[in-house]
Amino acid sequence: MKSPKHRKRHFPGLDAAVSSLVETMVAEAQGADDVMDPEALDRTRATMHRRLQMMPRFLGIPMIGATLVFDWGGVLASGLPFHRQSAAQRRKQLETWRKSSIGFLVNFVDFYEKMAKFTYFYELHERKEQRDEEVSG
Amino acid sequence: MKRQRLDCDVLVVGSGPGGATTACLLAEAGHDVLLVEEGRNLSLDSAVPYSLDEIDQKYRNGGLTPSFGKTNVTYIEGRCVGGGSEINAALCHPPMPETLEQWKVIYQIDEFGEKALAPYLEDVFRDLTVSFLPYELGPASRKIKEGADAMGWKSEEVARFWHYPEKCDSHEKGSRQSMTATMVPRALAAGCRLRSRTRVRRLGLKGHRAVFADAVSRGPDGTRQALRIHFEQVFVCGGPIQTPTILRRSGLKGKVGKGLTMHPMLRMPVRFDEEVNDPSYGVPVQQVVEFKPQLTLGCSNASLPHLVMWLGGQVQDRERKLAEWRKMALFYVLVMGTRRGFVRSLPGTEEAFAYYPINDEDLALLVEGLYRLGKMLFAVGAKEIFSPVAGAASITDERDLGILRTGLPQGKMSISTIHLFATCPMGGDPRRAVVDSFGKMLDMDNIWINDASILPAGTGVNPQATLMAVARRNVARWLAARGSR
Repeated sequence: MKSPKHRKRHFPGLDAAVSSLVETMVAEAQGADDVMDPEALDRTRATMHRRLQMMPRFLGIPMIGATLVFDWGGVLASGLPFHRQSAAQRRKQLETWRKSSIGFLVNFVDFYEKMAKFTYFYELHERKEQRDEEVSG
Repeated sequence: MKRQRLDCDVLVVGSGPGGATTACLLAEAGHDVLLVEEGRNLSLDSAVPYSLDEIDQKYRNGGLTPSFGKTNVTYIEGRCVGGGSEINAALCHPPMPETLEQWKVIYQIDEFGEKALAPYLEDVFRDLTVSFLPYELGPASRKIKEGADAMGWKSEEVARFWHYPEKCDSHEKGSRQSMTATMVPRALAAGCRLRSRTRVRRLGLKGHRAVFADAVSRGPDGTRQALRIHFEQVFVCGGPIQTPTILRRSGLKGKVGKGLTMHPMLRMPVRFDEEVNDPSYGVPVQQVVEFKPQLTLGCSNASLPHLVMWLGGQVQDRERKLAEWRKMALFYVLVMGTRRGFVRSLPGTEEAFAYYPINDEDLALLVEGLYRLGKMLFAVGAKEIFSPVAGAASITDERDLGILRTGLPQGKMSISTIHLFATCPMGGDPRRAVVDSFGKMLDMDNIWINDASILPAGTGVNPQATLMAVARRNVARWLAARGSR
């Protein structure tokens, strides 16, 4: 028997980039006055990391690369990487990629948008319901 | 890594509807069968249907594998014992007679067609307790029925692979008749051995025969064990993406993996003034069949997270709409793809690469489907239709539906599919076929393929019933040739 290969890839700066993308997507999906649920947000971040690891390599590695490029691409537009931008600056950068004529950039935003929103709302509503049911027996 | 040896008479690779059917019937006929599945062996209730946990447990790559082309199409494959039957909507649509007759002629398939498949379909319906709802249609299904009636279009309730107890008044009281609830337990009871978490990498060939399969088995703690499985006969049933990947990795190339086609699909959330989304009714079962097989209109299961995911960025008054999410349902347009792509195994990796060049005709049909769906739903009180184009505004006035007809931008729509076909097509024309009319690989003495990859084109309907009937027919032929039943 052979020990499992440790497949998890670590990329410096990826955590900050993924977290800021998740927060921006969730803020977009919520009402203006809603406060983000920290536990659901944490779980969403972890799930997004897992999704990137679960992708086939020919897709996962370019997606991780694109996430880092997206983050540092903010320096060109606003002087700051995406994760250090204000909410308004983040929305502006996202819109630029969303409206790009380059399919990969549009797909990149679409991936984060769909997965982050689905995961956060799943954690916020359905997971809580499941836990409540377990508690009530 | 020291390699372990396993022996069997018949190896079945993949435990989805094709593989589980094959393993069950062969084991019941007295053969020594080993069924190998890459995913885990999980019970039906190991995760809530359509939940994040189910995606993690039972979907390949977390449900996020794209086929590449001008517009990427995301496809979903089950990776667990039972394959796609564990995660799909369990809709059972018999094949369209005209489709079968066309295949028979175009692809020169012997002993094929509506009459030839009828007894096998009956067996499928019996074994998987195919049933219609024992209670009234749910509200989303009713919208489709009333909308189709208003437009003068034909719609119908699609049966499901579902068992309902007597006096059943709720979806939750019924049970899915997936492979882990039906064919797999039967196979095991007949003596079939099941090895889950075991991935077949390639077949070892000697002349015109496959003599072994190299596989890797993973333990619950992630430890890996190399296996070499020796067999007399092998049925490859990994599905339209994995089957050609295994074969090509084994050196069997030629036409293997070419011919990929699919049913591209677009989803569109629609809001009404009244509640239309009631999970207690289960998956909406009504479909508009007026335009089949080229075009199908229907409704998907949609909880709040699903709706948020498909709503897109531009939603006015989002907070209120999400609070009233039961007034929204997720409708879809599904078309029969007209193009052919391919599947390759990527060198140096364990992964498959799929290419499908969705073309302007497919996109035009999807757009036309969205337009017709919109017309139909406005006719029964829809208040807002959320465009499937990233960043586009929603449509609140029927007169604005024409925006959809002016064309949707390529590359900005989230197109997905759950139905893939034809990467190892059957038939009698050696210029097109990879297997003969009964699933035996051409030029090979003991390799059989028995999954949706042998269906030569899209079915235009949910393909599980068709593929299971074809699988049964092929096994019956195989058994008859060996003097067993």
